[in-house]
Amino acid sequence: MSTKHVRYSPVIVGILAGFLVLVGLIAPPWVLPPIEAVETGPAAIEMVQYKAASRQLPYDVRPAALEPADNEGSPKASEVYQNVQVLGNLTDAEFTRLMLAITEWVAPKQGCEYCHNLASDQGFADDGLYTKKVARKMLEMVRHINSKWPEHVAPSGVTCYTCHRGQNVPPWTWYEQNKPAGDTFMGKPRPWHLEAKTIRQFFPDVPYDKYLMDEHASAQIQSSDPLVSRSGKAEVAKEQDAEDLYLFMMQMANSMGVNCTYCHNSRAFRDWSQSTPYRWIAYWGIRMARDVNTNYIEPLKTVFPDNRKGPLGDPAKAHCGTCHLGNNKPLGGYKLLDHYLVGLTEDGKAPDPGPKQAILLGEAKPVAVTGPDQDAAQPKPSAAPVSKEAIGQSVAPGNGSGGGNGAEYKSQEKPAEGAGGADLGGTVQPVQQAPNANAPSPAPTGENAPQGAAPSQMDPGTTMEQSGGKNGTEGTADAPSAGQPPSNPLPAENTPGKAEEKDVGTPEPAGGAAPKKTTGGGTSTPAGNGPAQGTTTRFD
Amino acid sequence: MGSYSSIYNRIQVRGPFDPGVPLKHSSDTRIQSKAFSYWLGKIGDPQLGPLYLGWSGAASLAFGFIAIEIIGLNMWASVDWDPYAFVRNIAFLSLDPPPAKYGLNPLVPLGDGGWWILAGFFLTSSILLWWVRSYTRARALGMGTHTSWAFASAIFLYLSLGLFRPILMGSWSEAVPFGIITHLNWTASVSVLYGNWYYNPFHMLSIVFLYGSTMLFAMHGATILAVSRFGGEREAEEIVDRGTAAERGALFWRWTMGFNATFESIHRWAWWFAVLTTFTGAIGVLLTGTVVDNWYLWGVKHGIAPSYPSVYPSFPIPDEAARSVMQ
Repeated sequence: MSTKHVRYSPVIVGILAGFLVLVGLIAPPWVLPPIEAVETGPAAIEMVQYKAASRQLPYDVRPAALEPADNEGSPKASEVYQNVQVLGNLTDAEFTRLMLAITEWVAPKQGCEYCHNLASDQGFADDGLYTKKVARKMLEMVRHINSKWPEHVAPSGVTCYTCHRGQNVPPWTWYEQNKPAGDTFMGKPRPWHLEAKTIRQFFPDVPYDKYLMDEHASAQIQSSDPLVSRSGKAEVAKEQDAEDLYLFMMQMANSMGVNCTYCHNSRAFRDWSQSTPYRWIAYWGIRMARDVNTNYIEPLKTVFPDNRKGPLGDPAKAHCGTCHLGNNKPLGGYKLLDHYLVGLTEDGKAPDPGPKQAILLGEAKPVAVTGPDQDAAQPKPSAAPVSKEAIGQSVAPGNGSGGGNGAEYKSQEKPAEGAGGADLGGTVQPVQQAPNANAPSPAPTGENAPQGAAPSQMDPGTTMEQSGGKNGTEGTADAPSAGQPPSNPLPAENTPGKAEEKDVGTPEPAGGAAPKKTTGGGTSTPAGNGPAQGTTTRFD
Repeated sequence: MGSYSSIYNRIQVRGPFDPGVPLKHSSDTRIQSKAFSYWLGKIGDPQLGPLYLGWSGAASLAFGFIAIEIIGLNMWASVDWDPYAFVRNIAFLSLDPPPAKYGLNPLVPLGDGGWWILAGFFLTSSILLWWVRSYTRARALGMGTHTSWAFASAIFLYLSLGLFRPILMGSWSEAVPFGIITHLNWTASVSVLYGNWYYNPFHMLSIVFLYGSTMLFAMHGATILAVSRFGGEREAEEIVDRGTAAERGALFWRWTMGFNATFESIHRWAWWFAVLTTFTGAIGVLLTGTVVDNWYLWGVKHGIAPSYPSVYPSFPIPDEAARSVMQ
């Protein structure tokens, strides 16, 4: 070898390496500290949400509300206009104001004529344009969501802008995708979004189709029994189904800009007793999306023109990201709806934050407590063929008709206060805790709500902090309560419609640990048998 | 004596071409391609060749080529033979096993997983033939067959994932797809589906042996380099004829941790750690879904899952979650 090699090669290699390092430093969109980290679980188990202060979310402009209408002496809209089917009860002034707002939210470029065919003989009353029919259905949908799904949308509620963000079609939607038939000679294409720019955009739409319509697949993820049942019957889904659920959960996390541990303790995803209360909000959100997709969007199939439909001829449907667009609260909880309550709710009232508040403060009661004769409506669950070991040392199963997974789930027979110990005697053994962790539970104060939830934020009358640029960083103060909105699937008015709510099990609060606060707030004051006992009771 | 403090060889031994020991039991001849590479000499032996292919090597390469072709062409077909899309999305493309409805039926339509079965067959054949090659070549040189059995442990893990466990579960759909992202998705979803694999004790063992392997490798490599100035790279001689290199290395470890492996036993440590990494992993795979359904609950049952203090007020759980076995 010539000495030339030896002399110059380290220099060349060094320059190349330096160049690569430079590219690595400059090319990727690095996020510089400080990065806000918020714990959503017990200390030191890394249930953490990260938010970069510099993060810019897409479509994040917050429109100002229009000046309040002067309703003095204004006639009803139905008296002024023809063919006002949904908003006829509004005053003409309020009606016009809402129409202007909708124009700004949905069709700022096209204006009134996006939905109204003003050239026709009937003028505004003409239903010729498909957009008008769609808009009418969507108005009904918004009113339905605000009035029937407070568990998910309170306190901010939704408006047209929550999804539309100034676009004719909401930016984040999904379509049904072709399922590979399997009869081709080669290539069973995976329905990834191959034109995606980031890894998360690759996720296919298949999981939406599977889980966000009324006819949805069961998750069946994670058995409630450590060992395979003696009958050999599968207790969990097939791997390929599990993967769809995995993708769906990823899409959900992506939609909200959070990670798994916002709702779950990732060591035991299925276990509600280790989950955060936000899992309830998501739980209702999934059901709300099914309701909306099935009862409001899918029926518009016949109305939409082809260029608005997906490859299988379905309208663009909603998933979590349709409203959230990367924010755990759409628009950071901006309460635009408060200015349009008359038109955009069924009853003129803002969504009731009570159910969420109750969950977060531990006051929630299973709906079965108040429902009439909850046992009659439900077939008695048969004892499940699950071994007692299933629940190991944390929960010893009682006898009789259990929760089906080995644990005993009694409906609470009293309001949650004081229901902890006596009712459930014998069914629960405390999980071993650190000796000093057995202090009496504190009274729920809301201080231990994660993400610095301030109780005042939950009061319906107060104004939401306008968080401006740091939107999304203030966290979710809302917490859900028991039960489901009475509209899934869309029931006839006043039907029970909530069969699932009966017999809601509650986590048996074992004589648990004193909750440790996650973020903010002072030390909670211990109190008596409040419902807020810290518990590590497991249900699996 | 070489100085081994840099990351590449400082010394290149260059002699006449070494054709290797004479063959005793094989009539196959070696391919006597003679070449020396300065750059290879930086990281290894500068001599290239002689090569040996043999029937098992040739068949293994052919079968492996077929398997890669099947996988690659299927991936390419799934983007409609668009070369740009193929390259851009190579990480996301996949050749999936048949859906669950086919069970263990080997006669699956090609487009619906049949190609996966074929690719799996050719890849497995290729790997097994390569194992045969590793065995016969070691034998031909009069060596022990330690390499072959270590390789067999890795093959056992591969077959457990793609063949044995699917058979135990009664469905090809349980097997791993061929694809870069998709096989990772498989891993993640199987872990979650069966209740969190981190509580699988065989997974734990596998990780112990894997990380232990890297640690042993570092300790051994560092020790030998460190005593090379005393002739420590002549490991084989020092096993039976302990020189100052072996004694200094041994004393170093007795000083620092009270015990030392010998120049012989360190290689047994390393071999077993490496072999047990894949072997214990394979056992963990085979038990999942066949014996144990939820590894987290298995951990709770056996007291290895700590409980954490609750930080939230107790709240109800959805009825369906409480009532049904599945959730």
